[in-house]
Amino acid sequence: MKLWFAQSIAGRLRVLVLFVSGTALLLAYISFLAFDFYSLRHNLIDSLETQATIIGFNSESALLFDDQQTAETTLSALRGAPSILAAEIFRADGRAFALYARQDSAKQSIVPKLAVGQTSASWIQDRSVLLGHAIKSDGKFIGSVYILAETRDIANRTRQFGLLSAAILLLCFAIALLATSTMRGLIIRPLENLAETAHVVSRQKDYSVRAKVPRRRDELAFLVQSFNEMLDEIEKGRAVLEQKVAERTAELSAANREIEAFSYTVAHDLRGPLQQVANIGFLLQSNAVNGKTPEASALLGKLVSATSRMSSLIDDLLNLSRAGTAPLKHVQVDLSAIARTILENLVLGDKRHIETVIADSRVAIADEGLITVVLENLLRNAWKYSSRKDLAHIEFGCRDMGDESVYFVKDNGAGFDNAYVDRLFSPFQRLHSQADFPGTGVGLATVQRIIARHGGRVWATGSVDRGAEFCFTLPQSKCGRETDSELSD
Amino acid sequence: MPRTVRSVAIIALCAIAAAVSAQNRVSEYAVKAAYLFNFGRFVRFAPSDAVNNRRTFDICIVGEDPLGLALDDLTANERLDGKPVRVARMKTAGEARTCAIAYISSAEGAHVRTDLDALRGLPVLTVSDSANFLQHGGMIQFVIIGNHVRFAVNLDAVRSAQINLSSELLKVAVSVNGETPAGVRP
Ligand SMILES: Nc1ncnc2c1ncn2[C@@H]1O[C@H](COP(=O)(O)OP(=O)(O)OP(=O)(O)O)[C@@H](O)[C@H]1O
Ligand SMILES: [Mg+2]
Repeated sequence: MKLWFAQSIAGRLRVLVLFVSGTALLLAYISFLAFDFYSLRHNLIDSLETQATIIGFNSESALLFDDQQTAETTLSALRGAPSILAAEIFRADGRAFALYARQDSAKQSIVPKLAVGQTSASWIQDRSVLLGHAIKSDGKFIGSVYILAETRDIANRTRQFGLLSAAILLLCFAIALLATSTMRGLIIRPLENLAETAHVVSRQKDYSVRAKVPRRRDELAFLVQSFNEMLDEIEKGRAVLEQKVAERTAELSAANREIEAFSYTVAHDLRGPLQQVANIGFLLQSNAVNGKTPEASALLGKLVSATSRMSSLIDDLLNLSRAGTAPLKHVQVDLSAIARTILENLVLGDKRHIETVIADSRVAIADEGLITVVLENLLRNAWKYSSRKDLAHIEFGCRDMGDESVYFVKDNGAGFDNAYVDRLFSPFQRLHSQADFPGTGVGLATVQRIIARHGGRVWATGSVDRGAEFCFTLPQSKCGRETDSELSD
Repeated sequence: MPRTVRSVAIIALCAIAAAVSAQNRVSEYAVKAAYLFNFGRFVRFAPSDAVNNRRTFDICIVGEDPLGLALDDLTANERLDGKPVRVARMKTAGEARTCAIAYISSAEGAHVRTDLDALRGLPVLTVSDSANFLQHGGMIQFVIIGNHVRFAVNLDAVRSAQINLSSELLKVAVSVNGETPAGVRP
């Protein structure tokens, strides 16, 4: 069975042809033999029957007048039939009367077997046939004659037939071989060619190859032709598609560039006038306090704070824009040191009761400027959203999860509803009101853009009033000590 | 039922015929009785008034009867030549003119010649076990060869009486030319 499955189509065809012709021949041989055997035996019995009848007829008077000699003379006529081994006449009471035997060895072999009232019957012994025939005179049973004949003829015929069949079988095998090699040219070779072409297409993605179309106009030619047409279609389709993709990509990057350029210009160009407005407001506030009403001075205060908020928004937008475009320069960065500096600055600006935990010497391979922006955003958020706590707790660290190292910033502040976690990283999406925690909603969008450009992932988990945890990964970076990390370009 | 009885009788007779080696007089005559009946199977009479007038197929025993009832048992309800078989016994051959087969026992002795004269030319198959029966013009004579009952035929006498004996019968005869082989005991 294994052999069968391992074989090529040609091999299988050959086996099939041989099997079918072999079976057919065997069946034919058996049925011919059976028929021959049957008819030969039948003929033999028929002729024995005739001979027995004649002998019976001729030995009637011998039996009636007890003349064994005449009976034996009658029997000896059987000498002319070489297949008859022995013949014997029995009296009505079953005692032997006259015997003929070709050889002495056959003398003892006949035992009368006819039943009372039976006219004639035959028995097949191994390699011989015994025929018994009742002898009657005027309808009265007066004795019986038995003839024993060998079936050598039949055996000979069987052997001859077998030899002939074997010869025919050999011939069939030869024809089968011939047929399969013809089949090779007709079916197998085109098929192999087709399979080869399909292989090239699927392996090398080369849609320009074509299978050879056989000259005959048969199903196979049609199949190969259809296959080639299909390749034509695919090739054409791919070309069109590739062109379209290229066009779209070009369009898209052009649009992107325009947008970047626009937002950068807007942000950058807004900065100058805004700074002027802020400066003027400040001057007005400090220089002209006397002549002003308290309302005017309050309004001036609002103006100053609004302009400062606007300036920080512009800073954020510029950061976001730079995060998407600035070229990356990968170096080994000590994230722990950066985090420490950021938190120290935050503590300087606003004295709060706070507890910080910063893991030692957590390094990463990243662009130093951009990764600093990431940590600044995450730690500022943690600082901001934990400001309502009596004892705020902020932690930076790294843990190994499977193959990856995950850096995290964790706090015990206001937290957020995990159901809305998807929104956090989109620009201007905020989960807290301006009144509770002021902000623009650009920070996490910037973070995500930077991490994505590094080829890492960022995600968050949180629960309301229980704090939040922000995690990110960086490829090629490991939590371990500096020596473990490798620098790559 | 009579058929079975008959078959059994014939089988028994054949058995007896084969057992002649244990010869005693009784079985010898039983065999002869069977032969007498069997002759009837192989004999054909040329058509003549005398033959056509026969209503029965008579097997006649002339003179002393050594056969006893064997022949009667054997022929009961039998037919030969299409006619019922009848066994008749008579003192002289003259009474046997209408018989089909006439058996003249050896006890007739010298009477045999006159008996034969009485039947000469008539379609009657004459059978006897007396010596020189054939030489005297008889047709079939029983002889004993090697404890077997056999018979010899005088074909000339048969033919001159317009009787036809089947070659099957002649085949098993000891001789057909009217001579009895040497060394035979009647
Ligand atoms: N540590 C945190 N705990 C609870 N919620 C947080 C935390 N960090 C971020 N958030 C939620 O995610 C939203 C988006 O954060 P993001 O930093 O982008 O904006 P922001 O902090 O509001 O403004 P800014 O752009 O000034 O940072 C926040 O409005 C807040 O609702
Ligand atoms: Mg923020």
